[in-house]
Amino acid sequence: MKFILLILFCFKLILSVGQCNGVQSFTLTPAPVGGTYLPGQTVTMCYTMNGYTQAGTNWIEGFDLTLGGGWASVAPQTAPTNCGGNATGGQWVWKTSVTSTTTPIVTVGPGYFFDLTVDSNPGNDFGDAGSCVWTFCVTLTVTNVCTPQSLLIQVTPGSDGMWGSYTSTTCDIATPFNVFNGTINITLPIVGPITHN
Amino acid sequence: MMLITGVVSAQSTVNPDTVCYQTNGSTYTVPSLGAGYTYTWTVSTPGTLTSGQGTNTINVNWSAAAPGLINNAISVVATNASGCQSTPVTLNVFILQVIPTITALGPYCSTDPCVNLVGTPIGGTWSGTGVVGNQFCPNQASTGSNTITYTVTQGGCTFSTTSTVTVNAQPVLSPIQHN
Repeated sequence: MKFILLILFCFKLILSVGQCNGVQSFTLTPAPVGGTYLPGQTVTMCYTMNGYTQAGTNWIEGFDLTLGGGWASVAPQTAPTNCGGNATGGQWVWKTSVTSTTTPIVTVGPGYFFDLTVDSNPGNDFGDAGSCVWTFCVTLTVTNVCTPQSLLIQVTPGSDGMWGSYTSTTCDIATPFNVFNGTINITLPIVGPITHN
Repeated sequence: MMLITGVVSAQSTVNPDTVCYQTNGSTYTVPSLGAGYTYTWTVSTPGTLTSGQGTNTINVNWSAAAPGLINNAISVVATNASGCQSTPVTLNVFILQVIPTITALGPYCSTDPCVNLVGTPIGGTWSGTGVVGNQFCPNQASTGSNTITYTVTQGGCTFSTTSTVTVNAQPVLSPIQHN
C-alpha cells in the first residue's frame, strides 16, 4: 500500500521537498523566570505537532530530543496518540536510542518513536501514517551545578525515511524545533562581612 | 611585678580586628543567608576554632597567639544546597599587647611629701595604698611595703602592672637625758 501511495505523492514530492512537518508548538511548566531555571528544578515540557504532509509517503517516525548539558535527566510522561492512518497497529514508545535500518544509518534519541511492529525497535519499520495532532510530554530536571550550563531543548520530528526502514528521502531534512535555549540560573552565595562580637 | 590581663574587645568589623593578648573566647559571626546554607570557617594557627563550625557563628581561642598581626586569620565560605560556594571572606587579626611600666620610687620616710608617679605608656590610671591621683603620698601609705598599680586601656584591652613602694616610719627619739 505504501508503494502505491508513493506514486501518488510523486508530484507533491517535487513541490515540497523537506516540508513535511506540521505546525509545532510547546508548553513549559513552570514557565522559565527571566529566561532560565534553577538548579534542581523540574520542568514539564509538552510538545505538539499538528499535521504531517507525508511527502513521498513518508510517515512520521518519531520526535527526537536534543538537550543541553544542564539537564540532569529526562523522563517520559505521556506518549503521542497513534494516528493509525494505515490501520495496521503500532504504538508510540519512549526510547533513549533508536537506530535506523535505512541508509544512511543514523542513531537518534532520546524521544518518542513509532514502533509499528511492536518489537520495541522503532528503527526497523515504518512510522505512524496519517496527518494528526501528535502531543507528548516529558519531565526534565535541571542538574545541580555551580557553573552555567545549557538548558537547550529542541524537538526534531523525523520521518520513517530517516529513522525507520522506509527508503524514501523526501523528508530527510531534519529541522530542529527550538523549545528553549536558556542557561541554568546560577546564584552563588555572598557571605560576610565577619563581625567580632 | 607586672600583671597583664585582657578584656575581649567590643564589636568590630574593622580589618584588622583587634584581639586582646591571651584572649580565650572570641565570637565571630557572618549574617545568616537562611536555611540550606552551611558555613566553612578556617582559623589560622595558633588560633583554634572551639565551636560553631558549619554555622554562621564561631568561637575562637587566641590565647596561644603571639602579639602582632595575623593575616587572613579567619576565613569563611558559604555553601548553598546546590553545593555552590561563595567567594571567601577573610579577616585579619591583630593580637594587641601593651606592657605598662612603673618608674621605681622610694623608699620614703612617712613624713616625706607626695611625689609624682611616672608610668608608660602615659594615660593610664593609678591605684593602691598611698596613691592620691597621680601621686604617691607616703603619709597616706602604710609603713612597710605598699603595692601600687598602673592600668592602661587601649583598643578595648586592659593591661596593668604593679610595683612596691617602701615607706619607713619616722624615727622617734627619746628626750635628752643628762647622765
